[in-house]
Amino acid sequence: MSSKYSVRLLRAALVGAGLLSVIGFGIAVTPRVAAQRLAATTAAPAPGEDRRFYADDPIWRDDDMRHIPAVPVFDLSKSYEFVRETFGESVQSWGTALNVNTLGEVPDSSWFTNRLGLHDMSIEDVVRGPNQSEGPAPGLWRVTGRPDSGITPKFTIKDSRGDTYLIKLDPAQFPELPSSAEVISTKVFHAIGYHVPEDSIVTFDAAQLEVAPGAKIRTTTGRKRPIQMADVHSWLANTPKTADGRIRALASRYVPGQVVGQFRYTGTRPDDPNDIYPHERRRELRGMRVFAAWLNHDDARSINSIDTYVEDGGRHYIRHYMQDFGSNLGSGSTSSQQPRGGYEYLIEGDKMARGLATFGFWRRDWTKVQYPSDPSVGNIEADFFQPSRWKTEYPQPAFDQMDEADAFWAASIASRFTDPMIRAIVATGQLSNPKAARYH
Amino acid sequence: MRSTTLLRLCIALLGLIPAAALAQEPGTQSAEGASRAALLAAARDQKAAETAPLERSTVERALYWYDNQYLLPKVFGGWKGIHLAGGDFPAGAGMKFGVGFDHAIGSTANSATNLVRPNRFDVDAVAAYSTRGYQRAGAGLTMRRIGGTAVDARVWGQRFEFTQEDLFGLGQDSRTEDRTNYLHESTEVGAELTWKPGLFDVSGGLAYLDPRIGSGTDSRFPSTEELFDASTLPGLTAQPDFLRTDAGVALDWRDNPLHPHAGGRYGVQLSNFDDRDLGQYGFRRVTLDVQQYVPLPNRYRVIALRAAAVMTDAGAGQQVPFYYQPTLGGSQQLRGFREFRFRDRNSLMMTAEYRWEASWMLDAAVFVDAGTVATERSGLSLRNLDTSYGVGLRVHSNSAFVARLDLAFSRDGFIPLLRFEHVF
Repeated sequence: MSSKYSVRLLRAALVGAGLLSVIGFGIAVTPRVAAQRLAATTAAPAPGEDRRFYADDPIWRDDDMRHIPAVPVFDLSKSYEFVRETFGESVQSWGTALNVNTLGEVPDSSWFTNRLGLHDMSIEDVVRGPNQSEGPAPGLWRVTGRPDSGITPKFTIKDSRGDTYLIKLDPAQFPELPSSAEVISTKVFHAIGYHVPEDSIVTFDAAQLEVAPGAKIRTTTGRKRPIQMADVHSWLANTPKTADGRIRALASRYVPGQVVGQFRYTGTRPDDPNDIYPHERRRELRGMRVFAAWLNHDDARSINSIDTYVEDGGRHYIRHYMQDFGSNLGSGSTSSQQPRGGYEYLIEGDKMARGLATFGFWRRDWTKVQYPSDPSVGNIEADFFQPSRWKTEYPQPAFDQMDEADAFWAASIASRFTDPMIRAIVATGQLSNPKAARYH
Repeated sequence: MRSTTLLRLCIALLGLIPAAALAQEPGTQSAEGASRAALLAAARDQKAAETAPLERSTVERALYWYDNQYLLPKVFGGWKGIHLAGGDFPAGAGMKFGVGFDHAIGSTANSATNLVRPNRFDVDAVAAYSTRGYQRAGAGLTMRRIGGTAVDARVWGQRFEFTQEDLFGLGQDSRTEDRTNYLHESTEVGAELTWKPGLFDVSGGLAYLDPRIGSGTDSRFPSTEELFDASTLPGLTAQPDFLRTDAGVALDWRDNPLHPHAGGRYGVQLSNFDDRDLGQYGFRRVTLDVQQYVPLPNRYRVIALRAAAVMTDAGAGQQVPFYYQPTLGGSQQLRGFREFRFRDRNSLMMTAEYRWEASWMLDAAVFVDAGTVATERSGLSLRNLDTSYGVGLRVHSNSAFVARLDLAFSRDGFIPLLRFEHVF
């Protein structure tokens, strides 16, 4: 994109930002209407119930994988989610986590499967993670499209087995950074118990790519046109190459089932009978703040989730996935992580006002942090990092609801990761610089 | 049982039982259930009977539409090369409307390197109009990366009509009470070469100019010829055609020209205006422009400095027409004064800005501008500077400037400036 065109787009973005601010103000003053409507669909407790325990307590499986009819696709708006969480109040249910058993544990469900926290896992199990294969099959890869969302350069391929993968490319100046961060994070999140895609590091030759018949790309103005091989070469031109000219990338296998949208970190999905706990009162979503802070997953927001309508033993239900860990650890997806990342929301009125009023002499403490110079590590460090003050890109309602019990649950799982296990997970990132791997 | 689970069990027994049990609220809504699983199943059965379709609020619908319609790229990015354009009118032109067209002939880039293909031709055109009658129509053809080198060649032509350009007289002592306006129209064609080896930017060009001066259309102020005459304002009554030759070189090592925090840009431009008709208005012009960005510790604060001088030399028996004389004032220099507030054969301008980051997308700035104009080069004295000062806000992305609001003060008063271009 030419700089002239960029400037035009940026000016346009300013107009859009102004519009969003106005809309955000509107949301801020009317949050309760939507909250009340959603609250009416949740399984609210009945007053006066004294019974504390039942014969099957503590339950270890919450059967929210009952068959449900097909649901329509409902994609979230990334602009709305940002505005709503930044300027509005999206939480509709306050209190402790609801979906826990009498031991405070999270039963297995369509959201979470207890793994390392309750069961012994070998290093091999952890390293394998969700992967059912070693990644895309070698041979011809047919380029089938290019997703519009996100900022990472990427395209989709179908391998010789017929499996579809998202190929995410590393930026030229930060080789190995986002791909390693994504693979490492996927393994960690899987070992904890979340549903995540099968991710692997791959190297391939541009010659093994071929445009699939009918594959289309959306232009910057939204128009669709056929993908040309020149487009593919153009996408690959700015990505780092190995010594033998091959390209290293992240291959993320499409998750099973039919994608029906993303989940929010508040409320429930009204057309999913299995979804009875307000999401902001699910322990695995609240406690995820601990894991997100650990891995600097500041992009943990609704639009980076996937809900799929899956078939499992004749039943159909919605399974909930976490995805897009490309800006974790020291990565910012297309560059290193912004120094602000993890320390300050995109918009914080009080800090902005303080920044303005003090003529720059008030220095945010995180601006003094020194990061390693290795581009494959990016901006991540552990000396200044304090988990309790860590933040996402914009407010995350489930994280904000985390209480001591949620944090204890998460911390106890995190404590199960051993040093050899972490070293083995980092090795899956295939960082070519041993110092970078050791740093992680 | 693993030790972690044992630990949790102990904690539960020691006091967390009520809290943990309370967490079973969804199952407590019916006492009929004999098991926790049955209660949860009942809650789900109840919800199954009450399922509702997902709905978007009006605001969400609007933003979802906005996300998926590529509205801003369509409006500002253009369609098949056609896009909105402003016409690059001077300040005071009023609201602008324009259409531009950019088109690359052939493949735009070498797919293996993403570099512009050698010898590629780019066509561009613009037609714009403003509410105060300003007009511009122009077109150009650029040959990019000639022979695979960093040399571009361009031929261009334009006609513009600026209907109410301000003039306050000549010299530093010009008065706001003497504000007049004039029509400046011109038809111009030219060719230029640019060469960008590394940090250098070398350019040269030739242009034929056919300027005409007429009565201004701003009825609030007198037309220039009503207050001034040709004896005090060279070129007011007769305007020859000019052949202009240019040569320039600049060293640009700013870290990011779209939003610089470090580095600098030092440039010099030489121009010769050859009077093709009257033999009275030939002159030479030298433009010096120095920008330096001094990052303070951690690069969240920067001192931005700029000094620019424009000097003209008419030679014996020649004059510099007023409409080609350097000016001060406006959104880019000496911001507390109106556009074209000061005009003479030579100008000197200096700016110092202290910029700091208030948040990731908002910078603030305090600035001081100083400048003077003079008939003789020796008159560009630091003792004769007019100053303006002010504060500003700048919106930017991670990598580029977007817009600024500057509030500038001077002896002439206060001027708010909202601009979509950086001051420097």
